[in-house]
Amino acid sequence: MDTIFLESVTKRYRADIGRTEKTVLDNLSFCVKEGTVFGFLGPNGAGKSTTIKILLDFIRPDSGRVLINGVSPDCHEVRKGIGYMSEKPCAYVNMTIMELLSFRASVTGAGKRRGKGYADELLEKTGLVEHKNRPLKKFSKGMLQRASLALALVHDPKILILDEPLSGLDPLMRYEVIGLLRDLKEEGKTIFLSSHILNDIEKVCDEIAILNNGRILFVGRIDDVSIHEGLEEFFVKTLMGLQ
Amino acid sequence: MNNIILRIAWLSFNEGIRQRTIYGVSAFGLIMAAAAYTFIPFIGFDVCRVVIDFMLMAVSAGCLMIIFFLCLPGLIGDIRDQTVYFVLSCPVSREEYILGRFFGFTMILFIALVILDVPALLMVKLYMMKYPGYVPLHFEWHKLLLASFFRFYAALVFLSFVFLVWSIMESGVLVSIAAIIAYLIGQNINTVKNIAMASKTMGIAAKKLIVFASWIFPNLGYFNLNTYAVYGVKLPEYYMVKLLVYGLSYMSIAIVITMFLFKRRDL
Amino acid sequence: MIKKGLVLIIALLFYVSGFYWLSLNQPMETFSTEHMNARLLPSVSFLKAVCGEFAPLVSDVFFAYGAVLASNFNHSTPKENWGYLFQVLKLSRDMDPYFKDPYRLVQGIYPWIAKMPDRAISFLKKGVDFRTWDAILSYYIGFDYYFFSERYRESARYLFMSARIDHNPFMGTLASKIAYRGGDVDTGITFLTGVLKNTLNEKTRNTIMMRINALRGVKLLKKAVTEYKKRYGRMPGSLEELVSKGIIHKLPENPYKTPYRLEAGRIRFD
Repeated sequence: MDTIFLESVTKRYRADIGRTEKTVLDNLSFCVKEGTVFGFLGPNGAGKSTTIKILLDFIRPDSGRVLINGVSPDCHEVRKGIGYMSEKPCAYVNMTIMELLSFRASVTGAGKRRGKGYADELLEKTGLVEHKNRPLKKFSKGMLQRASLALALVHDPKILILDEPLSGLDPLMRYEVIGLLRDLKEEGKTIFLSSHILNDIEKVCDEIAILNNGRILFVGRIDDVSIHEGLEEFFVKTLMGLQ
Repeated sequence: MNNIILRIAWLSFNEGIRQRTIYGVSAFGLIMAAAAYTFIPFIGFDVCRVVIDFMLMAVSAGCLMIIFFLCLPGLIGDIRDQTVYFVLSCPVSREEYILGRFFGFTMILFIALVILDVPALLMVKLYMMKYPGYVPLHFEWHKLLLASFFRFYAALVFLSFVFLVWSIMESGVLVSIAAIIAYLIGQNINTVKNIAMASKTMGIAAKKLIVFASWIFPNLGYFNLNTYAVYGVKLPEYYMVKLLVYGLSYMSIAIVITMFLFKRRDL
Repeated sequence: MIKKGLVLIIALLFYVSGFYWLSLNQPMETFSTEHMNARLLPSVSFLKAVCGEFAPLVSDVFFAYGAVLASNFNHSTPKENWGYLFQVLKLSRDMDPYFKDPYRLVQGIYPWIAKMPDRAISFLKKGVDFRTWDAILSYYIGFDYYFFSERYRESARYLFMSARIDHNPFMGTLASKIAYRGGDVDTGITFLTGVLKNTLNEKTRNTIMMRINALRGVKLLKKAVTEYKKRYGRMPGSLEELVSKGIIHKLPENPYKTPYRLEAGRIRFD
């Protein structure tokens, strides 16, 4: 079964004061199989974030069908199995990472299953152990990014939806996060990530989709792409309509 | 109650408390007490009445500050800074989020009430000891406490209306303006309605409009029990019970509509 | 570092001197007529609509302002200024009609210094409707009617009201005296009978009883005088004439020992 399934999804933003009507997603269809790492690529404003928001039921498509594990995302129980890392690290900035982790663990019901040690383990992995009792507002951009990742992982979800997980990280941390993603892949998790840092994507993804102006230009296995030419070259060519 | 709602309420409460608005409100309470201590003897002879009114108003103003400087920016920020995603990416329904947020703010307002009541009661006690001859004839402490509780209750009713406005409008500025207007209308709609009904020159359409508005906006003026607290003026029968029922039903309706609208909204 | 310090010192000097200079040039608060145009004051309904639950605070502020103004007023203050002050105090009253101080202030100055008892009375009347437990307001009105306007009927009415609020038999007697002076015997009798019911002290009861009896006598005589006037088209020369003409059998006995007498068309017992 497809873990994530989208079929002719269309989303328009209504015209408003100072804004004309805009089609953000136009007849979008693709699917992500269980256990794969799916890279969702596209320039800024292509509709990547909108797609992710639809997967998490933050916004609703105007038409089309979305299924996650065979269930529509507007059933909130679906999100028990989803770990989400947002593009803008967003959480209540006066809370400490530890408190936010325990909040998330408890509302997902993972608190009892995994015990407190797991949070420490996660913080260790993301390099935030010394900062676990500091409020988030004192964090740097990179630290927030890592905190956001830790929050996505705390309840051990089957599906990970990561919006630009690598942006704002220094090279070393980026390397570590990629390692972490690989480990997660080994564990058999399905990972859906959007990015515009193509080199790193290449290292972890099994499949990619290229999106521009709300339309899918390419979906396929990364092996088919990177053998002939680099991903970056392929990406640029696709966007320019040369492929 | 649902465990998830409590968790969100606790999160919301903690986040709010740590924003230190509550410190500002405590400082405000102390400043008001100091002002009461310094200036009231110059104002008049009826000092005990002045101090009671003054401190009750400090309670009201403090609760309003919490709503305008903490709850409202919190709600607006949830959408603008996308903090709402943090909660909603968990297996939490939007209804649970709204209720959790509301109860979190309720707790903060309650803490503010307690914090503001302490200097208020101390100041009133001080004046009554200093000027025993001016203690209002029918004054009783429980009446003062009830009056301050209903100020808090009015703040809650108003907060539910703020939620409603917030669920309708997207712009933070518009929500703030609408909240201020709603507060002013809510305070006076009852008086205005009475004046309008008694007026012979006002047209029927205008009268109907005012009656309609009085059904929509929270009638905050009803919750003002100053004369009861100060002079012990008798309230109509079961007035407080009616107030509780009115407030509770208003809040429930406002929150249910908020949930309904929020559920359908793109975040 | 030194530069910054220098700038700070110069700025401080400017601040201090500027502030001092400013306070020197602050014009003294003048209470000229131009400043006190009552039309410049906001209307009550506007203030009520804006202030909402903070109305009592606004009432306090207007009262404080009024009190400051009043302390600068005297016998030679022009009428317009008194009108302005009246508006200010009226705002204070209407923002919180339960607030006692404006009533007290108005009673303290308007009848006495401004020589405008009617204003004071009209001001106080609103308070009677709100401060229903407060005997002093109706007493003030009664006093003003009696002392300044010499309108005894009205005076008695408010004094009765005052007496009824705090069950004060002395005030009741006073009221009935004034009522009698105003020619209103019935009110006096009714009222005193009411007072009698609530009085337990034997001595006070006797005093009130005497008064009631005296008033009953007056009532009877008044009726007879009216009858006399109807028959003969003129006032009787004395009360004895009523007996000699057969309108009454005998003169009633005055509990105050002196006989009733007719003076300038009024029956007197004291």
